[in-house]
Amino acid sequence: MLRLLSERESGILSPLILRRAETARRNFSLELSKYKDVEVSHKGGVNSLDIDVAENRYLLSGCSDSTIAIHDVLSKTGEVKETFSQVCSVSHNRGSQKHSVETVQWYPMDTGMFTTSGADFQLKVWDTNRLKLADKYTFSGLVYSHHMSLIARKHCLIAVGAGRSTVKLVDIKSGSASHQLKGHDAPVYSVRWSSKDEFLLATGGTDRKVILWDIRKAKGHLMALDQHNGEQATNTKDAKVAHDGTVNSIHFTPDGLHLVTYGTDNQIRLWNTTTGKNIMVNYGMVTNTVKKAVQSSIYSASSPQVLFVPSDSNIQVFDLFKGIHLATLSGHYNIVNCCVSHLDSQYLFSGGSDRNILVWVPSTETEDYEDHLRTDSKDCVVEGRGVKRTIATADAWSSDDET
Amino acid sequence: MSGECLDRELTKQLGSLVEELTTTGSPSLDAQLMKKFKKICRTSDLYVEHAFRLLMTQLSEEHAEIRLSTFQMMNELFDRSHAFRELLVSDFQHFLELTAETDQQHQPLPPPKGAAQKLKSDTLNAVQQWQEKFGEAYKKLALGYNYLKSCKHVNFSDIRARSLAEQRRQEQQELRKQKALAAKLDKARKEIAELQKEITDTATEAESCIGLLLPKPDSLFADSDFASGADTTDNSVNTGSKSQTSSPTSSQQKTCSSTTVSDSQNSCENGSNTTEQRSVTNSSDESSKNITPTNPLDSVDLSLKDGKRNGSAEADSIKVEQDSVPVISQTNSDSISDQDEDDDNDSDEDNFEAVDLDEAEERGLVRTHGLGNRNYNLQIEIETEGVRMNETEDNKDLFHSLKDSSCLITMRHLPQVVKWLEVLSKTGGSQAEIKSLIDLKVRLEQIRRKCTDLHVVPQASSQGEQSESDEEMEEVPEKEGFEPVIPNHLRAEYGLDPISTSSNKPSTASNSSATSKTSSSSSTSKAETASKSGTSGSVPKITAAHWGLMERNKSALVEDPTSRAANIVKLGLEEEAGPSTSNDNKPATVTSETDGGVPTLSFGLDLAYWGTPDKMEAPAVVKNDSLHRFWVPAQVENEKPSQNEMAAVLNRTFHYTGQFVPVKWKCRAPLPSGKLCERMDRVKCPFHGKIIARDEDGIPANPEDMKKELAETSVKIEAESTSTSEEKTEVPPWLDADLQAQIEAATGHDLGSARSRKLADKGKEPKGKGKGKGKKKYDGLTNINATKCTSRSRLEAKVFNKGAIKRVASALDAADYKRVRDKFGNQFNYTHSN
Repeated sequence: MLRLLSERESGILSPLILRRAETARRNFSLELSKYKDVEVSHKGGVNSLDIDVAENRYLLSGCSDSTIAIHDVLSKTGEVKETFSQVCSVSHNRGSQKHSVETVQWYPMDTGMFTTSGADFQLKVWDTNRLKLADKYTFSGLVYSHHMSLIARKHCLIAVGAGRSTVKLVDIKSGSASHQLKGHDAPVYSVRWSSKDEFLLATGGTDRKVILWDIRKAKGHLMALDQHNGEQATNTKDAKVAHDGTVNSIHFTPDGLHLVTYGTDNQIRLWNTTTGKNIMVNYGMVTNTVKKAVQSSIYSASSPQVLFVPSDSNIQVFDLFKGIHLATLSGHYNIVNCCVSHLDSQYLFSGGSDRNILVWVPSTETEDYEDHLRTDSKDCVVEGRGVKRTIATADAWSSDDET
Repeated sequence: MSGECLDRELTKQLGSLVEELTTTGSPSLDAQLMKKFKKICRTSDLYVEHAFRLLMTQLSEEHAEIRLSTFQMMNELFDRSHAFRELLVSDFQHFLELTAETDQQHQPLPPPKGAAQKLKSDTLNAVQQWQEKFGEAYKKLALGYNYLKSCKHVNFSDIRARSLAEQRRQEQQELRKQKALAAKLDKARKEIAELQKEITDTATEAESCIGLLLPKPDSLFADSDFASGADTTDNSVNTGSKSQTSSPTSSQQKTCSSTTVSDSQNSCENGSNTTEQRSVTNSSDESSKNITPTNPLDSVDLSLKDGKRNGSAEADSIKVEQDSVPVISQTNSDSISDQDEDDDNDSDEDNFEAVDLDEAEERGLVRTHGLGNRNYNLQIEIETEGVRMNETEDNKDLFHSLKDSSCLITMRHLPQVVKWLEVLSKTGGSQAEIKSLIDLKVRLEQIRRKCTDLHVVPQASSQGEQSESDEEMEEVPEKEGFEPVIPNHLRAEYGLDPISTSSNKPSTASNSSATSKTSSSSSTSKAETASKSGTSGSVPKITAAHWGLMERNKSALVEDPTSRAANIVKLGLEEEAGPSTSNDNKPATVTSETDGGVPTLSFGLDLAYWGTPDKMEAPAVVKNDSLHRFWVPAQVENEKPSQNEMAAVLNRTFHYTGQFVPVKWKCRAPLPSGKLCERMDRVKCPFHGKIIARDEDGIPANPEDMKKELAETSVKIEAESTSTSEEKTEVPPWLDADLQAQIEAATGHDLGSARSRKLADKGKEPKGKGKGKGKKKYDGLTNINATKCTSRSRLEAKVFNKGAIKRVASALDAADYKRVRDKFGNQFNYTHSN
C-alpha cells in the first residue's frame, strides 16, 4: 500500500492501478458491519435488491410480503455509526392478498422510475416521485425475473421470464409485449441483458439451458451454451445444457465479454459471450438450493474482479477469473436471496429470507470505528454513561476461577 | 499472549474435562470440574478457541443431554470470555440450529425429549440475557435475537418459549373448553328453572308428611291435652279391662310417661344407654301386675320426642318395639292384663326403675291412683334402637306419599341437585344460585335422613306380596359411587338375576343389617312374637322381628318337602335341569320365573320332537307343479329332504342369551418384576396356566400346585444350563490347546496349537475388546438407542419377521397360482406359462 502510494506519488503508477488495488483490498476484507445498519422495513424475506445506477444512492428492495422500500444508503451525517433510513415504501399489491415481489429494478437512466414484478403475475412500472403505479403488464404465470437493458439507446425493452417457457419482451414505450422468444422447454428463472451489446439477451431456466438471443434476429436464438463445449459426445440434439440443474442466476461482467451463470447443480460457470464457450473456471461446489431466481453480484472495478454469490445462508466471495474462494460472509439466519455491491463504497448489501438487509463493510474501516469508540467511550466515561459498551467486549473472568 | 502455542498436556486435560463434563447426563454441571475447566481456558485465548471447537463438536452430538451440558459450559464461557463470544457469535446460526431448534424440519433436537425441551428453553433464556448484556457489541448476536423474535416468533417476554402455532392451539382449546362449560351452565340453569319447583314441592310434601306422622315435640307438649286425650281414647279398652276409673288411669299414664322422659333424659346425659337402677323393691313381689299402655304409637312418639329434645335424635333415638313396650310391673296386686309376659323379665336389657318422689306426693299418688301400697317395683323397659313407625289404617296414605316422595328425593332429586352444584361450582355460577342450591340440598338431605331414621324408606316391588303386606321399612345404604354388593331388590335395576329367594336374606348387606338388628336384640321376644304370629288374625301388625322370623321360617319351609315354597324352588331347579336338546331352555326358565312358574317354549322343531330328538326330520317342501285345484298328479313327489337340509336342522345356531358375569379374580402369579400378574381370565391365564388360589405373595395356597410350579421352573433352568454347556463344548476335544502343545513338543510338528488356543480364548472373552475403537459407555446418559419395548415393536418383530413374510408371500403366491390354474389351466397357451 505504501509502495503503491509512493509510486503513485512519483508518477510511475497510473491512478487506476492504485484505485484497483485499494478497492480489491477493501473487497477482500468485507465483514458484517457493526456500525452500519439498514432500517428494517420488511416483514418478510427480502427477495431482490437494486442500487440505482444514476446516483449510487438509493437502495430498492422488494420483499416477499409485497412491500417495496427505498433506502438512502449515502452517508449523510458523516458519522461512523449510522442507520440507513428508509425513504419511502409502497405496497406492490392493493387489497388484502400479499404476493411476493420477486424482482425490482431501477430505471437505468434516473431514479424517477422503477420496475417490479412478482407472484401476482404482473410486471409493474412505478413513478418514484409520486409513488404511483404508472403501468402494469399481466402475464400468464409467476414472473420470476425481469431485466431492463442498462445501456440500451435504441430500444426500451424489458425482458420477462414468466412461468412459461417463452421469454417475453415488453416495450414500455408502446405499452405492449412486442416479442416472444421461444427456445426454452421449461420456465425461465433468469433473464439478463448484455452490458455491452444492447440487443444481446441471456436467459436461463429450469431446463438447464442458458440461451443467448439477438433480439433483432426473428428466427431463433443466437446460441445455447454447452457446459462441455461440444466435446462430450451426445445423442440428442438438445443436449446442449449449461448446467445440470436449474439455472437461477445469470450475470454479465460489466465489460460484456463474460457471462457468469449459477445453478442448482451447485456450480458456477464462466462463459465467453462471443464464442459461447465455457471458460472452465473451477469455483468449487457452491451450495444452491433455491428454487427461484437469486441475484449474484460482480464487483469489477478492482484488479481481481470479485464475484459475490449467495449460497444458503452465506455469501461466498470469489475471484472471478481464477475461481479462488476469497471469503465466506455469514450473518444471515436464513437463505440469502440477493446481494448487491455498492460501486463507490464497496459496501455489500445482502437480503435474505430472515427479513434482514445486512451491510457488509471492509474491515479496514472498522479501525476507524474502534478509534471512534475509544474517543466515544472516553467522552462517555467523563459523562458516565457509556461504560456498558466497554464492558461488553471485555473479558470477565471472575476471581473465584483462579482457585 | 504468553505462549502463543498450546501446551499439549493442557489441551489433553481440556479435552478430557469437556468430555467428562458433557457426558454426565445430569442437568447441572459439576462445579469442581467446571472450575478446573475455566482455569485452563483463562490462561489464554488459544485455549478458549480450542475449548470452543471441542464444545462445538460435543454440541453436534445427537444426544440432548450432551447438548444441554455443553450449552451450559458455553454459557459460562460466553459470560466470561470475549474471544469465546466472538467465536460463538460468528457461528451463531449453527449454534441456534443445534440448541434452539431453529431448523426444526431438517435438524430437530435429538432425544431424550425432556432434556431437549430444557435445552431449548434455556437457550432462549440465555440468548435474551446475552442480548441484554452484549447485544450492542456483537452485531450478529443482535441479529440472531431479532431473528428469533421476529421470524421464529419466540416470545421473549414470556419465559417459556412457545411457538405461535402452539399458542394459538392452546387458545383455541381453552376457548372450546369455556364454550362447553358455558353450555353446561346454561343447561344446568334451564334444568334448575324447570325442576326446582317440582323438587321443592316434593320436599314440602315429604316434610308435611313427616310432620303429620311425627308432630313436633313443641306442639305435642304445648298441646298436652291433645296428647292425654289421645291416650285416654286409645287406652279405652285397657282402662275398661282394668275396671277402674278412667281419670286416674290417664293421670297415671301421664306420670308414667313423665318418669320415662326424665329417665331417658338422664341416660342420655350420662352419655350412654345404660340405665340407672333405683330400686325401691319390696321383698315380696312374687306376683306382678302388669300395666301395659298398649298403644304403641303413643309410646313411640314419646320416646322419639325425648331423643329429639336431647338433640341426639339420630344417635340415641330410642327404639321402642311393640313387643317390648314399656312395661310397668306392679307388685302386690292382681293381674289386669290378659297377656302374660312373664318371660320378659329374664332377658330385659334395660330396667328402668322409678320413682323417687316426695313422700307426700307419693302418698297422693297412691291415693289418687287407687293403689293400696307405695311399694311398687316399676320396671320400664325401653329398647334404644331407633324409632319404628308402624303403618295403620289411619296413616296409610301418609305413609305411601312419604314413601313416594322420599324415593323421588333419594333416587332423583338429590343426585340431580348434587350434579347441578358440581356444574355450577365448576363453571362459576353466581353465588346466589349456588347458595339456594345448597340450601335445597341440605333440605333434601334432612328429609332423607328423617326418612331413614323413621325407616320410611321406599321398598322395591321385587319383594313381592309379602313385602306389600309387610310394614317393615328397610334401610337402604346410600347409593354413592360403586356398590360392590347389590341389594337384592336392586338387582333387577342393575340387570342382574335376582338371587333365588331362599338364599335371599343372608347374602345382602342391607337385609342382614336390618335383620341382625332385630334378631340380635329381640331374641328375647321370640316366644312372644311367635305367640303373636300364631294369633296373627287378632293382631294385624307384624313386627320387624317377626319379619326376620318369617324369613327364617320360609327357609325352613323350603327344606320341608311338602311346602309350597319348596315346590316352587324345586320346579325352578327342575326347569333348569330339564331335558334339553338345544340351548334355549334358558329363556324358557327366565320367562317361567317372571310369568309365575310355568315354563314356556315357543313352538318349533324342538317342541315338535320334544321327547324324540333322534327322529327329527327336516321340513319337506311340497312342490305343487300342476297349478290346479283338483287335478293333481297321482303320485305326489315326495321329495326326500337332502342331507344338507337335515344338517341345517341339526346344526342350528342359538345365541347365548345369558348375562355376562365379569371375572372377579386375577391370575396373581409372581412376575420377574416382583409384581403379580394382573390378568383377569376366567379359567386359564395364557402366561401362567390354570388360575389357582394364591396368597398375597403369589405363592400357591395349595401345596400340590406349589409342587407343580416348582417342577416347571426346575425344568426351565435345566434347559438353560444345558444350552450354555453346549456352547462351552463347542470346541471339539481333539482341538484342546494343551494336548496339542504336548503333542507338538513331542513330535516337533506344528499342529496349530496357537490357533486353537486363540479360538478357545475368543470363546471365553467378550468380543468387544478385539477392536480398539470400541466406544466408551457413559453411564450417566440416558440410552436413546434402547429399543423401546412397546406393543408396536413386539408386533413388528413378529409381523416383519423374515420367515413370516416368506411364509405369507408363498401362501399368497400359491393362492394366486391356484386361481390362475383354475381359470386358465384348460387353455393351451396358459398351460406351460405357469
